[in-house]
Amino acid sequence: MKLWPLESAKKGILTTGFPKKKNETISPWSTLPVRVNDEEAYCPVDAISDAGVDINRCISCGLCDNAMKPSLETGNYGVLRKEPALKKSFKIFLIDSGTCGACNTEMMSIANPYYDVSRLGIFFTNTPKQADAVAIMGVYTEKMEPVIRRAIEAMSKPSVVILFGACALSGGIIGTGLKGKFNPDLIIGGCPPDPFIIIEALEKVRGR
Amino acid sequence: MMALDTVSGYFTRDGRSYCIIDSDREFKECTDDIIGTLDYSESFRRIYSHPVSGENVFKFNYGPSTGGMIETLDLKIYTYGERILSLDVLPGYKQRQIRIAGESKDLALLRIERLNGFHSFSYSTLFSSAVERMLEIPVSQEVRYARIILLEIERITSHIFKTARLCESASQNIASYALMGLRERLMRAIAEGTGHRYLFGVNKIGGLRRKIDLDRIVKVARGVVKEYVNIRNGLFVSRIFIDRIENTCRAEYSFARGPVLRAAGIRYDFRMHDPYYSGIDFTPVTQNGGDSLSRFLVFSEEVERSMEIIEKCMTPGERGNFLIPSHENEAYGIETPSGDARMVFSINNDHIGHIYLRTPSILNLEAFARGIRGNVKTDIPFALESFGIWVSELGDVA
Repeated sequence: MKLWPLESAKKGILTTGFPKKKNETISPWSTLPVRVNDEEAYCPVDAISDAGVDINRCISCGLCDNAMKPSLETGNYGVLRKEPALKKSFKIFLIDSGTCGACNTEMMSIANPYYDVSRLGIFFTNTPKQADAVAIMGVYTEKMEPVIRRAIEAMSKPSVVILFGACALSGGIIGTGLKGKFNPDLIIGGCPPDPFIIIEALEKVRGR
Repeated sequence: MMALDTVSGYFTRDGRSYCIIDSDREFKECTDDIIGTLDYSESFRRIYSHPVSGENVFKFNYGPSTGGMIETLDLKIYTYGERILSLDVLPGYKQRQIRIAGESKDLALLRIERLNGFHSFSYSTLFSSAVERMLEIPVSQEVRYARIILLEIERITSHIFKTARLCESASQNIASYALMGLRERLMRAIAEGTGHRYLFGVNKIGGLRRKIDLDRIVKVARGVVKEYVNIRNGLFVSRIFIDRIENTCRAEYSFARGPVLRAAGIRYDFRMHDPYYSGIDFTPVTQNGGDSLSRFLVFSEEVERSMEIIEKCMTPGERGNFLIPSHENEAYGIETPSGDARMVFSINNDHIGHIYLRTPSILNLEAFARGIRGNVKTDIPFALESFGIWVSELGDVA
């Protein structure tokens, strides 16, 4: 017979101290690139301009690596409205509008033992009725629009709408984004966003 | 040998119909009548409809966006209570239109690898290697073996994820968390070694875009696989776990793909036919039950086999270039972690022409819809996980 708790205890604590401590690692190209020289940088989605890199557009492909390198910073998100009432407990309902699957699994990763976001009061819920936030992922698909609208309406208030990943923000390289359809309170960039970026963004939107 | 004669792809072009047969590397002209005789032909059009009627039978809706499922999928369950009499699957809610035809090779590659982000390297390798063979662009043996290693690493992470989800559905939460932790360890190593957790942007036509730290990834993978085997052995002695998944969602269909097919005792793995794997001693893993337990056993053993392949590729001993020219009318293929994908396309003036892609989920979803009959509703999540179905793969690629 296997003594699961004993086996787990032997491994010690895997969970990160982030955001109080610095992130141990990060997926390099999921962070926003920064310039390293004056060469012309190729970008298949025109995310690079003189003003910098557009977090809505960048698809984390790394094709600009002749002139750019990953910043390795966790700031690849934008808080448009804070909701401090959700500081203590934050339940998220995930909606897949049209993803490749990577955003879905990356969002779920924040519950694994290395991140364990329940320590921060963040949980996933199976119904929008019990949710404080909906995280919408993937490109716009016609049949999902009413489903997403109903989910947003079903949430009790105060609540937060999150657009998650480059596809939801701009359509990435696949389709059309959702920004014109829904008003987000939080946008998280990346293709897909790294778990540390997700955690920091979720903390900031509820004023922590 | 039944599976080797299975029609596993069907498309039309310029008014003519063509099919892909497992035993053949080339696609063949066929008639719609022949395809019509296949009882799974509707799945090529993403139609999974199995209505039944009877006294007190009603349709119970599960989805399209609900807890317990990773992706958007709508299920209409025919039932008179808890037991599933039949099932319609409507995958069209999140159906993406992925435009490839008319695009440049490089742009097409970026889109192909986002067809299924979870198995992105499999799809990007399928496309890159097919273009290289068509245009007779040789790659070095070093690139070939690096790709095989990364393909097997992707298979290991995918199988660990599926095993973890199976454990979660069977209420083995500690094992599930331990497995998710293992996957995370490997994902971090992949990110550090390649620059991206999901291997986006790693492949390019003619090689690899970045310098890959294979030693680092493989070193972590060795530790992860060792721990994975330990967890699996612990699960085997849990009567509760075995009882929960044994005899659940039995699927013995020759049209099923990958681990689902092999779990039903059919020895078909595209790696046996893939020129990329030529010279690598490899035997497919099979089981005979056809149920969730058998699929779990196939996943587990394939994790170990993948590690063996990786070890062989770390010291290949071959130098020089690698190029196997295309056949005429070739249906290119690759064994993704969910089963073989087959692709037919042309290149005109450096741009992609007509393209047809049959992913494993297209057929495995039909196998799931049939296999779940007679089971109870609570069996759906882990039956779906054990089939390795990705709805994203069901999008329109044109």
